[in-house]
Amino acid sequence: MSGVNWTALVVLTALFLLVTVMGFMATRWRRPTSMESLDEWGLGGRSFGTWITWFLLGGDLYTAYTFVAVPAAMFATGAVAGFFAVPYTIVLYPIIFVFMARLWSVSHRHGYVTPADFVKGRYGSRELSLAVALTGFLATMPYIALQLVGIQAVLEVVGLGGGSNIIAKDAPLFIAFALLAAYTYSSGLRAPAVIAFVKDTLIYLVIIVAIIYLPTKVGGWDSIFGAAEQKMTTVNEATGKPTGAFIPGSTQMWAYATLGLGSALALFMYPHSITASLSASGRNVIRRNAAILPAYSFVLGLLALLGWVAIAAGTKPIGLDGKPNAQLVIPQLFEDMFPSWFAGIAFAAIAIGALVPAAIMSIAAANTFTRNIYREWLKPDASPQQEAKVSKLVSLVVKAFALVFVLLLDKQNAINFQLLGGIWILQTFPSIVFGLYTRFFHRWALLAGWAVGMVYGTWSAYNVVNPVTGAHFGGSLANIPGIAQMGYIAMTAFVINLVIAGVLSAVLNAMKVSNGHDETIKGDYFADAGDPRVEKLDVGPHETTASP
Amino acid sequence: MDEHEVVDHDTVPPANKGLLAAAGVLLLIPIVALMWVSSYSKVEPKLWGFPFFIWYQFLWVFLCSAMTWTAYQLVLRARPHRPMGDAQRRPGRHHGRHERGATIGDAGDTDLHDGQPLDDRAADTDRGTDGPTDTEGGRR
Repeated sequence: MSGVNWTALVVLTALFLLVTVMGFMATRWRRPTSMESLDEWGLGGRSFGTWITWFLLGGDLYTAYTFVAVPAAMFATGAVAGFFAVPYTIVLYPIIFVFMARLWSVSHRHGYVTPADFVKGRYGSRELSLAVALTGFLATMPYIALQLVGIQAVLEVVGLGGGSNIIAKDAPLFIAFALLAAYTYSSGLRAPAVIAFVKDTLIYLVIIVAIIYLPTKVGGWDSIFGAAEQKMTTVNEATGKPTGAFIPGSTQMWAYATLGLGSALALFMYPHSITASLSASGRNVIRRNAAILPAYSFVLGLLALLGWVAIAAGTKPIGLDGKPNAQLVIPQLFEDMFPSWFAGIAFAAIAIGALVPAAIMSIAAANTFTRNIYREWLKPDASPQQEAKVSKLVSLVVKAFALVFVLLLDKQNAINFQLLGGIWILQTFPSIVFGLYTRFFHRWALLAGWAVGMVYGTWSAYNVVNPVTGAHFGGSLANIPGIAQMGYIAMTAFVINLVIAGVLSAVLNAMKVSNGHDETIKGDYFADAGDPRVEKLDVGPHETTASP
Repeated sequence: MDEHEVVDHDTVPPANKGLLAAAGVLLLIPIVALMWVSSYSKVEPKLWGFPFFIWYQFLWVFLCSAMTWTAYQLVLRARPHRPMGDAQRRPGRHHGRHERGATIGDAGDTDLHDGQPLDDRAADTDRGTDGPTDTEGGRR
């Protein structure tokens, strides 16, 4: 690769400027009387209908990093590491259909902005709420950093970011993120909601064109699958094993299934997924979206296949430092195969695809910090105006941190932390989701299960060693104790978490240890728009032994 | 006001358990099908050059979407919305609402554009017939 692809760069820049203007204008869209509260700044006034939510959630969940990493995994090691994204994003929707409407309802009634708010209200436990908040915050940080990696991959293929001067090298990325930070600060969740329209339209356009046009250039699907099968079955000299999996073999079934299910259970525990869901205008908006969001899963599946198209096309993803980097495979494929102007559109789709989730993630992380750390532990009497102000500032800090993280540290660190984040976030599932249905689970038991799951998951991931480089955190699969099969570490940790939470709950309930004050009532879980919001509903004593 | 005429909101709104169970089964089928990896991790039969493993999972995108939509229609009928914020509401009213569930659900398809929850719209209509005492303002 040499020089800058000017045509592509001009198209990319033009589209980027377009969404920047839209981001700043978004503050006038569905203008609220005041932006000075978390409900307005951080949740868009909880007013988004079915289609806006569809764009927003689609833009939020299917991130630039996903678009870069999933085909990269298909290209490098095949179906188990890459194509699991398809069953993952299919089973996701029946799962959220079941519990998300309840979370929406109870959050609507009690003004909850984050999952930790709900945990606090349901169990009256500051400690459990803090555990959920910290986990969410920590898991989101590397995810934001990885959105930068997505933009970087595009810029690198366009030919920017060369040279040894660190300022010149990273200036484009820096400018992009500064603009993002500025309009997120002023427009809040309305900015990504508006930009998501552009992002999703571009993504659909690019993928559909790519999936129709590219196979004709490389000899059709037969030769694509032939090339992929050949590459995956070839023995890798470094490890002495096949390069990857064309389809999961008999020893990889558990890995494929647990990766899919574990990721699906985890995704809606991330604060940014919950933020986008709570911004919906009614409980049924979420349910309708569970039926129509799979359109994105279909596109993600096609995109995954582009990793194999790149194998047939003989794409050589070489970074500006001259080393092979699988993460560059999709931008490189577009650069090689498309006319420059369309490559520019494709690059813009990926780069803008990074902005939407990065904005929502930083808003969600900021909301979590404000509600569950600042207001809960530092300034209990904070007014809504102060909350909004702190949140806006934290959203800037979070993005600055992500930028520093990616620019100064090896980006492998971000990828490692993201892997850990997925394992960690799943450990908050019992506290959040089971709490929506039952008070059988005891707050201390949930906290203990969470702690053990976190420690086991981290330890287990640390022990996965990359056979070639010898580095720790070499992957997300480890032996499942008792089954002698490889499986997703997050799921193993989750099962251990569940067993501990279940057994300890039974013990603590039998000992009649208080399970905290529950400020919710059963009807709250079925509330819908139009039902009154309550700050605190006095329903008399709700002290508590288990009531399933 | 008579104690017995108050709807207790610390209860689960009434539901048709059979319909809820049917919706649950519809939601469970895709999960079971896709977690059963050995049922589809094979190359043959191919479709337009695509290995079975690939096209079968793409097929489930559509099947799952259809099942989720059906489940949505079922739960709308199974548990019509019971409005809150009207503790004065007489219990007879929500039985009436229960029977009306089917027609409320039928409005679903035309209701997509504005994102207004359809239960809510139905509830709005209800409030209209009930007069101003029944709005949420009554709670403040």
